[in-house]
Order: sequence, then C-alpha cells, then structure tokens
Amino acid sequence: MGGKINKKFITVLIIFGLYLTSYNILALNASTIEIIPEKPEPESEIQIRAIIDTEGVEQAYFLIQECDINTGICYERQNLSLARLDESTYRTSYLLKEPKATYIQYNLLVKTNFGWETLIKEKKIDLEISQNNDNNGGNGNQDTPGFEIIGIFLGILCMMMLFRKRKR
Amino acid sequence: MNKLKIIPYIFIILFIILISLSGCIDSTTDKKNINTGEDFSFLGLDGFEKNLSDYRGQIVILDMWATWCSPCGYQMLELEKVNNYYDAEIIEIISIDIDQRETIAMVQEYIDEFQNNGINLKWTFGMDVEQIWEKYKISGGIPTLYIFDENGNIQYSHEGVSVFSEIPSGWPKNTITLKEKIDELIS
Repeated sequence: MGGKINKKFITVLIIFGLYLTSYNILALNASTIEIIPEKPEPESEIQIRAIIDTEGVEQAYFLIQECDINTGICYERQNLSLARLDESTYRTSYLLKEPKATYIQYNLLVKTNFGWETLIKEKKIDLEISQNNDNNGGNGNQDTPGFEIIGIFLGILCMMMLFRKRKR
Repeated sequence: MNKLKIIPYIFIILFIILISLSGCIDSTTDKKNINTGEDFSFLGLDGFEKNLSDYRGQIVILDMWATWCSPCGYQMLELEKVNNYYDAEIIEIISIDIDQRETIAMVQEYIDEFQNNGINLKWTFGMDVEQIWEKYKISGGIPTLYIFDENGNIQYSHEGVSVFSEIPSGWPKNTITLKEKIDELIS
C-alpha cells in the first residue's frame, strides 16, 4: 500500500517538475533580444536580433536611449523599426552616438491587432568603457584630458636643459 | 650669456603655472547665461496653453524630461524636495515632457505611479508643443534644468541630475545643489 502511494507521489512530482521546466522554456522563448556585441562600446554599431513569439505582429519597434550614469543624463530616445526575417525573427542595427554614454536602455514594442504591447521594458546594458573614453577620473566631468601632459613635457624639457648647462 | 641662464627658470615657472591652471579649468556643463529667457508656451495637462510669462514675479524652474528617462525620475524626487521646502508663491516648477511622441495620458500615468508610491508631484506639468526643447536644450541630454528669476531672466542652466541640498554619498562632489542657487536668487 505504502509503495503504491510512494509511486503515485513520485509520479506527481515528476509531472509537476516537467510542467515547471516546460513553463520556464516557454517563458524564456516568449520574446528575447540579442545585442551584438554583448557589451558594446560608445559610438560603435550594434546589431539587434529579436525573437518574438507573439502572434499577429504588424510592426516591431526597438526603443533605445543612451545614458551617462556619471552625470545622470539620458539622450533622446530612438525608435527603431525592426525588419522581419522570418516568422518570429526580427533584426536591425544601430550606431551608438554618444561618446560619454555609459549604458543603454531599451524597450521592445509590437503592434498587433489588439494594439501596442510592450514585450521587454527598460532593460539596461552597461557599455564597455575603454581607458580612452573614461576621462571622468571619478570626479565628475573633466573635459581637459591630456592638458597636464603638456606641463609635464615642458618640465622634463627644462630639467634636460638645466642638466646640459651644468655639464658644460 | 646671463640671459641664457634665465631661460630654464622661465620654463620652470611656466611649468608650475600650467600645472596649477590645469586644476582650475571649469569643466562642468553649467551655463550661466544672464539674459532674458525667450518666452515659451506649453500645453498643460488640463489641455490649456500656458506661457512662461504667466509666472512673472516668481522664480521658475523649468525641468525638461521624458517618461523613458530614468535619471529624470530621480530628478523628480529632488524637485519634490524643492517644492516642499519653498513657498509656492515664491517658486514655480514647470516640468515639460520634451518627447513629442508622448501624450498627456502617459505623463498622467507617470505622475500617478509616483503618487501610488507616496510621492506627490504637485507642480505644473506640461507638454512641449512649441519646440521649447529646440530653444532650450544644451547638448541634447535630459534632465535639463533652467532657473529663471522673477523677471524671466535665465540665471542658471544645467544638463544632468541636480540635487536639492545634500549630495548623496558616492556622487561627484561637483554635483549641483539647487538650494544654493535658489537661495542666492531669493536673497
């Protein structure tokens, strides 16, 4: 009797587990966005590939804005129309414009017979900031990179001249 | 010959001056244009058109924003502090949604979301219908704030988040504090 109950319990658990797994797979596949490269640099081109499983999609839009976390500034949002490649795949590309942007934020919107629907809302991606781009020095805006180098260069020149004079 | 000996010392002095100056260059994005701000019109959330000149006699903070801008949400919290601190007769805050693709309903929904979280954005909101953005944008980023004095003169402008009085820890030390600017104008 106890063995039968155990078998039933295990069967229920397995079915429940399978249900949860399939639910997760479905949920993951509902709408996804792939940004290439995964961590783009400011002022670089990105490829956007969207998998949209919603039925009756008339238009798909990718809304993107570039922001600078150091100053708390966001630049004008761009609405990009996605081109349909097949039943559920859409694609577009975009050239990031702002040299000081530290992250991008995007939404994925579709227009169906029932109106507009937001499939992905306000997702953030940090940008890859190279040393050359990061001229903030952790101290807000410093728009004069390299200015000090002139002074250092002149200083070295002076020292060299002084030593030369003394040798003579 | 003696004159030649002086040259290296002149270079050293120049070097010291350059090093000192490099730390003194103002690198903020602030602009203090002491001129009369062009009047502008905007569409209030009640559907009626309003002008900047309607608020002569008051200090006006023009806040340009959009619902999709996350730093603008933080700016709203700081403006709420300004609104709570000063008498409404002294200061008028005008928050203008500069994205002409957005609607009054979207702005109202945004305000309601704050309200649901216990934050009352109790000041003037409006939509940009006459290209305020084109006249007043600095480099194209939001939030952008302008402060006009009682006569409608631009006394201050800034692109990026400004705080009310206290700079949160971890923020750049040169973050703008609105209280200081407003108190200067009131006095």
